[in-house]
Amino acid sequence: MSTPSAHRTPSRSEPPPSAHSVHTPLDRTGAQGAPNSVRRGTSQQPPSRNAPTPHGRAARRQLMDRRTAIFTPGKKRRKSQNDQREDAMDILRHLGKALAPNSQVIHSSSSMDSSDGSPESTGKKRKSSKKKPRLSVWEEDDGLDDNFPLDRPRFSLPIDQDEDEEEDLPPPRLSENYTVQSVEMPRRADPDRDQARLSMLGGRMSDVFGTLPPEEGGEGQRESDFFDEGLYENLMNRPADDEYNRIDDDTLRRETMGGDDFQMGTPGGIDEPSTFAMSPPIIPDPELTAPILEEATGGLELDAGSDPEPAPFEDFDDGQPFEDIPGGSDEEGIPMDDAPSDRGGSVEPTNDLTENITAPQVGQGRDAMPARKKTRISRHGLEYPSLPPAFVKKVAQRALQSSGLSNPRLSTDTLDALTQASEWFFEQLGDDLGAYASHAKRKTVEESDVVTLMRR
Amino acid sequence: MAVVGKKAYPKATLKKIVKAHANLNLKRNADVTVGRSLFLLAHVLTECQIYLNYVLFMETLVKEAAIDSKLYGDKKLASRSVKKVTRDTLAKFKG
Repeated sequence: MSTPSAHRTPSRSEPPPSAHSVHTPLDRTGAQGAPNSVRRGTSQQPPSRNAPTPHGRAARRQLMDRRTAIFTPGKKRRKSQNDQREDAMDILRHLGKALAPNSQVIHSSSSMDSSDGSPESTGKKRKSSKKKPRLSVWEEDDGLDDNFPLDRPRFSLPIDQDEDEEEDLPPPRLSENYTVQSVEMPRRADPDRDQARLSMLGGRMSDVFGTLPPEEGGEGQRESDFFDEGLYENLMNRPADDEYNRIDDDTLRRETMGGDDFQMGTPGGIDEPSTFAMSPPIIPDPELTAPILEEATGGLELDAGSDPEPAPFEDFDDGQPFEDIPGGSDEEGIPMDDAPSDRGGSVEPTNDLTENITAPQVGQGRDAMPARKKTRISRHGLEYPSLPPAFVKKVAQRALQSSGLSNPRLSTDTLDALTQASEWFFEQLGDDLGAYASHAKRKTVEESDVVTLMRR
Repeated sequence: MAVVGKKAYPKATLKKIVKAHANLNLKRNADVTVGRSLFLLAHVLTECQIYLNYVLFMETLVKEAAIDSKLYGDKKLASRSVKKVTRDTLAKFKG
């Protein structure tokens, strides 16, 4: 490639201005790559000199290099592909390059016919006599590759016709050669060299494909039409629903683009039930959680309401009939829910399953306390209600305000942990108070016990 | 909450819990003749002390847990830190 470029510059400088005016437009169209990029690079380098710092200059140089690389794709593609793929081609090219200085006949570009034929054919004849057909192909390749700059003047000249003729010629020669390389040669070379050849091949390929489909392709086209109609119908039907459906439609489109009619029907059917299947698990969750919350809140309310009533006469109540309590509780303004729940031991209220389950146990227990929640049994065999989480939450939040945390909210996990901790605390406290009281040989826990506990 | 706001704390529940664990009755004035108001006062005293004790415990627990959760960079009270601190705080309030 270097030698032809060397040839290019003199050839351009050499041709007379009259011919130049004719040639320039062709030059622009054909060989935009190298010269334009070079010109840009040269023209834009001076501002890089104005760059304030050497780093800036280097950056601009890199930018310019990138631009030149972008605007000269043809060269690099050729080089890369030649290096990678065409081994024999490279050998021959090197040979041609080596022979190029000798074949200075090219300078006589005015008489192209003699220049093209003589040097290359001679060089290749030296190398291998068997490859005559290839050599002929080679002649074309070299003529196209190496003489690109020189081609421009040729195009203007009637020589173009000769090249066209040469292009037309090779296929029969290729057919003569049955070696793999000979067949692959033009394919490799074609994308690199001329788009005309590409178009030729592409046309052939398209012709081949065009011939095949009418049997199958007609159906395929019809199918595609049906797809489109079905899709449009689906789109028309679904957009009212949600964005999800739209997305599904897109997926349907994609599937239908590559797929069949039958897939059209099935994915739609699948997607819809899938979406429906997705929703139900979401729905039952709130249902599951809601009752829990309801139970908790109900239990809290019950606790809240029930608290005052047992306080005064609770111990007496154990032996006494329950009828007395509700009267007193009503006086204190306890909600009606507590009354039946208090009677739970005897009457068995029908509030919750848990109450029903625990109610008989409570009835057996001494306290006959309503089992608002799970009752627990201490190691002394006494049942006691679990601590209401609302109470724990209230106390904890009051304590949290002074803790200095930015977010005073309590998560459920934290509340559970706090409730568990307070449960343990009360268990410990009860044990300690009982120990103090028993140590004092008392049957009851007094303030002194609590004071002692707090003083410790 | 309105009902809860009326009362400072669930007295009966607390009393039952403590009573169950202590296997003893909380003190109330055995002399029934003293009168109801006085009886209430005497009875409430022990419970109130227990409640106050519980509030102190909870305050300590939350404070320790807040410190611990701050160490981990949490802005909320983390259950992990609460569980972690519970043991020490309980030991602190052991009689």
